[in-house]
Amino acid sequence: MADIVRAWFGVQSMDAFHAALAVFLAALWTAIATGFGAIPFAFVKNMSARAMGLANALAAGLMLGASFGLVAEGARHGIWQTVGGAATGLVFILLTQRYLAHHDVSFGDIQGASARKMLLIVVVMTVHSFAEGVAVGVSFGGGASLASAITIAIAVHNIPEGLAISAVLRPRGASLLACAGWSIFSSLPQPLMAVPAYLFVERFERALPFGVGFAAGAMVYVVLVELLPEAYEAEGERQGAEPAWSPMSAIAATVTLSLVGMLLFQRALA
Amino acid sequence: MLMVDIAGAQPLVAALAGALGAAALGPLLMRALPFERKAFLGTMGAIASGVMLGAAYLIMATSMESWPGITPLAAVITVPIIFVAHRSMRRRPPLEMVSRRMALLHGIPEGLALGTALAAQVTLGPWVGLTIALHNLAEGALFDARAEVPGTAQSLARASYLAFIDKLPQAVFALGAWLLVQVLPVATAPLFASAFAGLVYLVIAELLLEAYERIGRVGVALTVMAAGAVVAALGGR
Repeated sequence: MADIVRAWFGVQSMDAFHAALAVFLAALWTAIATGFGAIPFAFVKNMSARAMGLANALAAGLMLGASFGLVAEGARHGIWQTVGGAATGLVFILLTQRYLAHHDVSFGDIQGASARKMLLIVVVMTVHSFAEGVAVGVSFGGGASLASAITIAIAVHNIPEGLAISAVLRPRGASLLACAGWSIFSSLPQPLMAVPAYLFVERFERALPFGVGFAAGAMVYVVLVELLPEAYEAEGERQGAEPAWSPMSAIAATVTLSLVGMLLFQRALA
Repeated sequence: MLMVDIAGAQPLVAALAGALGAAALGPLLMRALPFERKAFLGTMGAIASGVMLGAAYLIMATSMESWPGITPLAAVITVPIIFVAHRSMRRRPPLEMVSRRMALLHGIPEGLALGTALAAQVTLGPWVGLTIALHNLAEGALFDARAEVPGTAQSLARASYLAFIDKLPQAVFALGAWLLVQVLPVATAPLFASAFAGLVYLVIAELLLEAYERIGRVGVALTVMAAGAVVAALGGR
């Protein structure tokens, strides 16, 4: 079996194979860590409209923060490639949204608009994990101690991403186990992409700005089209007023704090 | 003795002239262009949001690079302050006073961003200046639309004057931030962080909300992303 895998990936020596396996297992661990993001929702049973609005705002802030981090990372390698990637990510998610709008979608027991939204978030976060997997694999070229640091950093970094996914799934009726499961699923591209990125580091490094731009573009689009408008609507309904005239202080504070929190978190792990 | 480089204030003066001039031009843009009013205003609001988010990103990326410890902490401290200020201003009528207080509140982070960027960063400063001017142009047009009362159309000159006055707090805070960074360079990171948090907060609390009402979700997303990407890309980050 090992020989087949080695041949398939073009790995020349047993040492290289073990190293690639280590990268895979480390990246798999980081994917599993995403499931921990569902834990806070174990303590929340029923969510009011306001809590749902704030959960959407929390997810929006976390995703915006992650996107800022991704764009900054991509810009270090090439700003126009990053912008090109973002435009492609936007087109991808527009097409995905169009496709979902014309098909009956179910997400577990949930049907209709909520199911579409849940699926869109999972798709976006899964797509964004491809770019992160490449980042993990490329970074692993720097040696064992750096690899350990990166594994821990990415694993911890994935927890708020699981939180963002769960903040969308849980209020719409997904079980805690489903939240954790879909969070982990969304990060599975990390181990899948980390190994080839590690083995073919130069080729993947060149594509990195495009990949992170793609992920950021898709995430920002979902924030602007789905999460923020829903947060506004929920807050507007709670206040019994037209959304345009409601002071959205709580939504704005939640988005800004979670965005800054995500940036702080990313910086602390860098 | 504290020294202020007055001769180095030329870029600030130029940026302020551009920013205030752009605000005054907003009503002209509003009245001269033959677009459908609702769509035009929504697009202006989305552009103003996008360029502000782009500027916020540029400021944050620059500040995090140079002062990674202080920047996010100062941003976190800013959020509750602006939250309390925003809520208290919204709750006290009459409407005219609310509008003036909101102009003041908006002027703080916008002015801090402009003044700090021009004092601290040779490369970032002009981009933030251009961004603020573009934002003011869009807000000048929105300001004209908001101020309009049926049956009491005001002259273009008066509308431009009012849009100009509306943005004066921005100039005052820009000058204040510029002077502060000149005499106390250590203030750069907290000022950048406060500007970042304030800009993001106000875009979410005010500007985006209006834009959604007028051009819908997809229109807002596409416009905000395009405007933000142009600012981030031209700013080189």
